[in-house]
Amino acid sequence: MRPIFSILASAAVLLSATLSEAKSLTGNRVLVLLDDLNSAGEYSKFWSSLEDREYKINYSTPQNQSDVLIAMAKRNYDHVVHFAPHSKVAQDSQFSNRALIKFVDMGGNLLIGLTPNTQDAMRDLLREFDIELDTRNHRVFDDSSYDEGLDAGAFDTLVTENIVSPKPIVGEVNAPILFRGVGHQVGSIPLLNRVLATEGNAFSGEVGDSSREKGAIDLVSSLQARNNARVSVAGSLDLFSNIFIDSPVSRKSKSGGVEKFARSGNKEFTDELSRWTFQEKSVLKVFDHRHHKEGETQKLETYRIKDNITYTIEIAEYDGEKWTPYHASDVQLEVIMLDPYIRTTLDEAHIAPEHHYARYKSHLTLPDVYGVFTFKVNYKRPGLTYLTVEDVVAIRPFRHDEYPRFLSAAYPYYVSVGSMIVGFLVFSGTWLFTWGSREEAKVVVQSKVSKK
Amino acid sequence: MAKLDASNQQALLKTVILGLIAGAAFSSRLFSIVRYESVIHEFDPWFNYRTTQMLVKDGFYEFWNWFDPRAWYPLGRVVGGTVYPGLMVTSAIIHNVLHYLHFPVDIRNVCVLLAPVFSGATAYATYLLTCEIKDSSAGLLAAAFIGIAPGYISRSVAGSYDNEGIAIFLLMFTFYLWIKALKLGSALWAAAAAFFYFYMVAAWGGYVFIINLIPLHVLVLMGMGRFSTRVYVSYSTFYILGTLMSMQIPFVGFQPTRTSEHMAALGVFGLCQILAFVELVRSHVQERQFQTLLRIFVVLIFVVGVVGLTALTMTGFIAPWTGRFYSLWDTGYAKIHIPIIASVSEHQPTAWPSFFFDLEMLIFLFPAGVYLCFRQLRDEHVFIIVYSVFASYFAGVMVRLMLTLTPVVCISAAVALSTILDTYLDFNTAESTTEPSGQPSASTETPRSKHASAAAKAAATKDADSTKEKYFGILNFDSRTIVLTNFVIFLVIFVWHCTWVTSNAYSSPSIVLASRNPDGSQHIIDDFRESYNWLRQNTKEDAKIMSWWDYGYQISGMADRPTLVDNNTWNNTHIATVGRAMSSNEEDAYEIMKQHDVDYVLIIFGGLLGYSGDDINKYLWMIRIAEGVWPDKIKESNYFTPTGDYRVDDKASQTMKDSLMYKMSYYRFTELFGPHAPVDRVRQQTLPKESPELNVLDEAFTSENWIVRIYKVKDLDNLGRLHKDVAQFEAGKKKRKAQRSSKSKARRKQREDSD
Amino acid sequence: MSAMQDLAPAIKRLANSYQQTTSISLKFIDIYLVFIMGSGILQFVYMLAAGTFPYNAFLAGFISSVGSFVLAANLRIQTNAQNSPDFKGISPERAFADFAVCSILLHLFCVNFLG
Repeated sequence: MRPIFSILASAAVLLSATLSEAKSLTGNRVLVLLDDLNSAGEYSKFWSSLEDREYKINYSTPQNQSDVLIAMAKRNYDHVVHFAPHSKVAQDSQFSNRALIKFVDMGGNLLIGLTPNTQDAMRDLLREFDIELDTRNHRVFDDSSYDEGLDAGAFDTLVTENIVSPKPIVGEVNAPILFRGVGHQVGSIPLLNRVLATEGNAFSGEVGDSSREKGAIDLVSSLQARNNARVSVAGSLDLFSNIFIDSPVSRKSKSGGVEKFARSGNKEFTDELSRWTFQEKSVLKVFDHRHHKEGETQKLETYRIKDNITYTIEIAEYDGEKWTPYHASDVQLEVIMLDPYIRTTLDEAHIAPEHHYARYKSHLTLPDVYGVFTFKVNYKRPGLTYLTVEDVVAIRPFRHDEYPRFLSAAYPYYVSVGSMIVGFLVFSGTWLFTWGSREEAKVVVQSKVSKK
Repeated sequence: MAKLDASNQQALLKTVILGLIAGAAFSSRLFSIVRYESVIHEFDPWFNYRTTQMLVKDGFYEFWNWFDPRAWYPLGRVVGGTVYPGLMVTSAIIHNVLHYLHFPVDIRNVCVLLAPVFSGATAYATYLLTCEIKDSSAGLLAAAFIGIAPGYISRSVAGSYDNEGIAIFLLMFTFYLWIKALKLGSALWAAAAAFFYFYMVAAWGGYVFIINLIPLHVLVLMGMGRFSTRVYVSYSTFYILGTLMSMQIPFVGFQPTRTSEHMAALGVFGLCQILAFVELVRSHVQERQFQTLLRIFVVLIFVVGVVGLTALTMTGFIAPWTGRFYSLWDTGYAKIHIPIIASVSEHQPTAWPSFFFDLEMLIFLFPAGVYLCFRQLRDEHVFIIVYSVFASYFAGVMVRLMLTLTPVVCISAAVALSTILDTYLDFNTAESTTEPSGQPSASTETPRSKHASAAAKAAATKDADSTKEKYFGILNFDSRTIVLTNFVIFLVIFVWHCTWVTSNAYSSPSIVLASRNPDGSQHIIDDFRESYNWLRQNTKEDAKIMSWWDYGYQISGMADRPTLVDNNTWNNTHIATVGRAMSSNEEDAYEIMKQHDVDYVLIIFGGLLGYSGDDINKYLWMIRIAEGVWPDKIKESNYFTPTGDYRVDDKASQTMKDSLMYKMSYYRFTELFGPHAPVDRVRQQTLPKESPELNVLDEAFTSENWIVRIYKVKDLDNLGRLHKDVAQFEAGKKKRKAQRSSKSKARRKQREDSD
Repeated sequence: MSAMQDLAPAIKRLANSYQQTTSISLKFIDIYLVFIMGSGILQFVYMLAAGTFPYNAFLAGFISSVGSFVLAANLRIQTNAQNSPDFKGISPERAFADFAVCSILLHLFCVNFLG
């Protein structure tokens, strides 16, 4: 019953994906929130690259309550681009923190841009993501890696090539990235990943502040929630602006050297970031998983201790267009009852190339302990969708007729019992047969005794 | 109309009386069915009922091999090997026989009414045993007593589908067969006793009592010098066949050869063989040489035996007395070392009023009956004496063992009372007794020797005179009347008492409570079943329920959901884990609950109604059991106030207020009291006005009188936050960590300094 | 030790008395008893040498020996004319019938327990 269900469900998802003609798996409805609708033009290149990827964009402000994020327990939008860090929102607004968190809990993706003047409400929202934004009016300065052309003398238009993200989020970018904005500190929860940081000599402070210790400061970070909704936080709105995207880079370092690049890497970076955030890449999916005894095909709910079983799982990766096989060497299966009893790496099996998934298999012998076990594949890698597949099975002990029988060590006992039975039969037979004659003999003996 | 002769009259009377006794025994156990409905009571019977249902549905082999993944999640329970199957198999056989005869009786009704039906059989078995002790009149009295004695009724009312229901019948019947075997010296009767002992082993863990009492009896007989070939034949056959058969039950397994509880029987068996051999040798050899041989032989055997047994016990091959039975000898042991055993209310020592409550006048007739056994002192009387001494000791140590005392009290009291009635109802006068002795002496007079005949006559008259003098009887009518009326009144009051006790104390189904409305009508409190039904209808089929072990069987039986711990209490660590989860703060408890895949938590709270059997009253036991396994994490003293009181109001200790059990019990309790402070009626304390906060659980269900409260365990937060923080965020009360830049701090400082 | 000096003549006396006073039936049973005892001792020695695995088979075999011994000893006691005052209701036929029924019961359970 259940395999049919999952196949139908995955077919429905695929079908809906093709019907909506979006590259993103979540959907193609994007809501852009701006402080001021007129500023939309400053980011037109970013919007057009989104529209090239078949998104339908709706522009609004947080004060406009007619755009509703969630109606009747359904999302009205699939992605929100929140470029409105200065807007104050009321507690009951459609775009309050609680509404945005609810949106993420329902699977929506969030891309947030910030400035050093970010409102307190937005800071609170970031705290829910375990990101601590730098103090009000603080910005990031780097006087050893700034852009000569765009910088107004405050050394706050940084140039950085320090992409610290895991490969699945943003890979290589050919040119350095321009940034002007606020830095943040990333918390310790494992759902967070740093994406972009400054070079090693930056500091965060107010204008004119130079007495601070220097280091690498985080500029862009991402969080993938447990339900695989993605949130990216960038400390600069200018990162996405047309000016920065089109601008060439002439990086001036403190020592005086100037490096020149024809074009900044901002376009590539923002495209990759938005691709990741809107679930167009690094998305994994389990197409099917099954377990059965060796030689059989039926998925049982109860196995026996020391049974040999085969576990199979099929994983695919979405590359923006279609599902492709996902190759990895570290997919593990755990057999758990309060603690893992078995932990084994699944081997990739060879299957025909027309399948759009990769198949991983493992042959294992169930433990010698009975109980209720969970077969768990818990694949969580930074930047990739979290895969958690659980199967609960009962492992029963031997039945009374499954124990080994006729053991060689027990032959003497079998012989003895047999001899007892034979002896009993022989004895009773003789006893009954000689009943009369023994009576006579008894009388004779008694008379002998009495004579004495 | 043809008149029956005396013996047939007696047989008819006996049959009718026994039938009436069985009927009375059956009907006096039906109070709870008449008042409420035909439902299984208490806790353990629910497990037995569920097992019987499974047996009837799936057949014997599935039952024998049943591995239950829905109990003791996630450890599972091998039911086939950890249960005494006798009760379930009996019910299943009765059910199948009835169905075969086309009576479609539901298995629930078979289970509910099994104990009352077997109580009639117990009365019959007691009758048989007492006939062997004294005679049938005592037997009938004993049957009547055990039919209605509250000590037995307490565990065998209709609905109490527990092992003791059939076990007492088997106990009495096995003892009857043993006494019969001993009297006759027959191996067949001993084999029958062994078979019923096997049936008893299959039915109840109290079989240890039989396998220690019978060897003890044999040992006492040996000590009194009454070892005879009859004893040898009966005991050896009984032991060897009984032990072999008892090992067929998987739950008993190899225990008869490995545990101290069974070593007494083995020792006496060995002693029997030795003594029989010695007797055999004695019959062939002169006295003096026999003494020589005996001395050497005894020394040899004794040395070998003692050394062997000690060595085996020291090396651990023979297990020492298990905790349950050891606590009978060392009563302080369980409280310190095995708190689970000490916490069961049935295992507490007996208060002396219970003896009178359960046995009424029998308890003072009991010593009289034992004394009369001393007067006669045949082998069977020795048995009754030994049984009564040991049963009295055990009944004094543990309330639950009142049940094993009741039969011997009934028998002894019946012997005593029957002797009294015999004496006062004996209508033979002095003259009628001397006449028959006079006549034979006259007829033996021979004409041959006048002297001899004269001497004989003189002797005869002297005999008659002496018998006339020696006849002690009750001759007066009024002394007879007074005594008999007195005892008839006693008997009537006994019946009245037993019925009253049964009706008021022992007929409560305990899953349904009853109280009185102000206008006197009955108010039924059905919270338990309401909640279990809610669970059954509103949760997914494999939702795991965490509750204290008392309710495990009921949840499995009525709600049909997997439970973490139940009344079987075989795994102390698992129970201690649940106890730790209940006593820890929310975050620790959440971790434990998540590890065990718990979906719902169920607690019992009696504070609104005044129901004193709730979880806050049991809380100290939870803490003690958890402390037994994690002494560094849970400390009992933390849950008391600094002055050592157990309080739940605002003086309660911080650990108490943070604990999950406290929060779950009093969550939103304050809403019932409007502007006043909430009052806990059981603890008689006033609670703080603010309800405790619960962050990791959602309230799922609270029953009508707030007795059962069910909470759902929340999932991990989507963004990885702590539940406490999520709750604050959702409430809009999240504290903002105010950050000021160092420059503005400096500016402010400047401003302050300049002021 | 005087006891040890008396031992040898005591045993000789025992053997003579036994030879003369025991009837054929009882001697017949005694031979059967010796056979059973031998089998039991052999099993016990084997268990000491080879360990107790499989314990249930050892117990089944050993108990079948001990049980047969006990039942045969019962038969001996009950058919011994010296003991008849003790066993009022047990004629020799009844004694043998008891013996047969108990033996069948014993062997049935032993075979079941062998596994």
